[in-house]
Amino acid sequence: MSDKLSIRFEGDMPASAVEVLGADSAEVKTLAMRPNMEQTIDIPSERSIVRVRLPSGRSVTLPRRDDLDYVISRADLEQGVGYASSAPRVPIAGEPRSLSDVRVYQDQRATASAMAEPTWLEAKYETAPSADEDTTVALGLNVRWDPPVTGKTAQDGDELAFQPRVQESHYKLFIELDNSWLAASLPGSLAAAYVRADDIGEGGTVVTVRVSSTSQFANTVGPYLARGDYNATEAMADWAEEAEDSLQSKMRDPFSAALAGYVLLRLERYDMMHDWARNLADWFPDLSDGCVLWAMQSLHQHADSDEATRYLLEAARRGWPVYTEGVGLLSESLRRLGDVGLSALQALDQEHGDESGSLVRSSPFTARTFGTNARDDRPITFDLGYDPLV
Amino acid sequence: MTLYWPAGEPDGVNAPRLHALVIGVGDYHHLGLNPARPATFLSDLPPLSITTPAARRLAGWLETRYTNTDRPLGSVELLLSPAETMQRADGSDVDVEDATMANIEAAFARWYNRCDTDENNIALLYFAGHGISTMASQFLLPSDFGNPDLPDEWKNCIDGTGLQSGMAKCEANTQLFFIDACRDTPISALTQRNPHGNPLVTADLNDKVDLSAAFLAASEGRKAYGRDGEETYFCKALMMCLEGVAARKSGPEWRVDTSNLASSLAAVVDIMAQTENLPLSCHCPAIKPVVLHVPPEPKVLVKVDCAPKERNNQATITLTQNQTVVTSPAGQARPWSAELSEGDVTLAATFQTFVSQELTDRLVPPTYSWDPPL
Repeated sequence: MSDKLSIRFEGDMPASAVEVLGADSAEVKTLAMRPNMEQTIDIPSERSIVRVRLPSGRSVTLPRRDDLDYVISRADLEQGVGYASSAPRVPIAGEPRSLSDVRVYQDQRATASAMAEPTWLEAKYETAPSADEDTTVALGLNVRWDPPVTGKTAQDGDELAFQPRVQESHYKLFIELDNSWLAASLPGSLAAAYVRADDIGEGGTVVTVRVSSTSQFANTVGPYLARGDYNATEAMADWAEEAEDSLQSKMRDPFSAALAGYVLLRLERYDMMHDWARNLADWFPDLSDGCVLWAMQSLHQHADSDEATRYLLEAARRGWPVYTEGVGLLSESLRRLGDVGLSALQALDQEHGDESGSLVRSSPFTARTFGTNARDDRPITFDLGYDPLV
Repeated sequence: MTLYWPAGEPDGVNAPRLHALVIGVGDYHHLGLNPARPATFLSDLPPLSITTPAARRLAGWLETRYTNTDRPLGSVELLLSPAETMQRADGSDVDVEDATMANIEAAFARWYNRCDTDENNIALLYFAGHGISTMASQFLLPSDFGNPDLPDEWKNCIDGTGLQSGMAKCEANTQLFFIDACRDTPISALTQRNPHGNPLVTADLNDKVDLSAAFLAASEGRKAYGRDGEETYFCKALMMCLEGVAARKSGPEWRVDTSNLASSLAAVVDIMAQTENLPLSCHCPAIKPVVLHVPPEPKVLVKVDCAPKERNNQATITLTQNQTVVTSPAGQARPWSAELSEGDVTLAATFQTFVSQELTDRLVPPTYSWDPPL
């Protein structure tokens, strides 16, 4: 016997993947849901399970509803089980700090962000001290943006916040702690970036960088892609076309378009890529992601290795892509071009000399670490990713 | 001899198989404590006590637990440093060779040729040992890396990224690379030395495979790599996932596919990071699903956190599932995690001075977190 199950997201919900499982835990369907969106699906049994998989990586199993009519708000997530606690989060206080403290802090920030997003930065942060006009100094960190962005410190003194203006070129972010460096390329369409350093005892210090984009597509699909959630990414593939539209709109957000391209490449949906990757490559000469995407599409969809070669070498000339996904594709493909590709790759790899460093593979945005940690026995780990709360 | 399984020659049947190359490097001839011929650089890199247990564990798992009727196990090449004699599950002994560059090259060639026999083969490579990473490459260090007697000190070095790229030439359409490399080497100090390695195989732009996926342990620093004498954290997470935490039910059977393995590994490592309080992470981007293994039963990794600290200190946690009761008494490390079967569970947390909490819910792989309300 089959039934119909209805799911509606209230306006305060973040865009998320929703998994509907049968009574035997078999997957029925994964849906991509947005605020104020409603979907109805056929289910094999009224004892189905509804699980919201949030962009942050958390899953919340919702209490079963006999009427099969699920209207989901943020408050429901708090009451759901499988992750959530209905109690207010515990404030972070005192030492020692721990990774779980970091997570609790992030939870708190989510609530604050949801309640008063537009004014929150102003309310909770104040201007941070600067070593010079380009560098923010706080928490033992030196933070510099290119082009410059002034930071603010949280009132509790534990976090730096930045609100970069939207621009067509990418940002470069440099963070130094005890002579360990992170250099990252970040999209120009950032809404905010947060930086904090937490001592986690034997594990050393974790410097956490979280960014959110002005693009809801990037904020939602980016984390799923980076975390390896193929099903959720696939369910959201249709939203990629909106990112394409943003290329031609007033917003001109090439970074979301590039992310959409990587998503469709992963899903092998070349049919949905049309020719936007070529536009991305040709219209934004500082961004190598478009060249990588068009090269891959030329190769896989059109079997045009000449075009692919041309754009791969052009990408190498422009420098590393903004997304780590592109770094992998570019370095893998250049290797296959023989000597010309290998020398282009070697030049890229040595681009920054002693500061070329190591790729931070777990970061969705291209980032490298370099320098010599002044504290031999206390590693410094840089953790860069999407703001898990959007 | 590096052919760990089977005991004789592989069956030679012209049908899809999984062929594995498993490498665990713990001892380094020219690095570490007082080697006879020390390398001229990186000589302070210590031996690793967690890599050979990890490689042994995976080889043994493949031999005894791997289940896939469409692509059964074809062969397991195994190299360990130090070399050792191991016993197979059937009781026979096998002398496992040292994971030197020459032995790796020879084992790789045999593995490659087996993988190349059928496009439906699965090629699986696992490496645990020291690694050096640049922007473009991840280099994997065999046991004789840095031999000072060679004109090129990087001769005994594998370009792991290049190897994955070059494997596009191979017929096997599903290629899985598990790179469990300890990355505590500051590459800045090596940049002047022009790091390079041998990819062992090269492909051209037109070579392609259906699925070439890298699963990378991305944690930095030795403590984030594993506890002395045990397997690496990444290996533990991988085993947990293969044994059922990464299972997904689609149709009548619970199966571990490559896609769910990627997302489940990330979820399991995330819980390990919290329970171990270490900066653990892995990099397993979204990849399409190919069935890898049929586990005996679906499992769920349950994490319980009763923050704040004083409440965690008091918490006695009990998980009850059918006849199984798992308890973590007060005073144990928190957050706490345990593996249970898929299905209904009752979770209870009792305290001396806080209100006790209880919840009955359904566990669905891969992970489940419970933060009892205050």
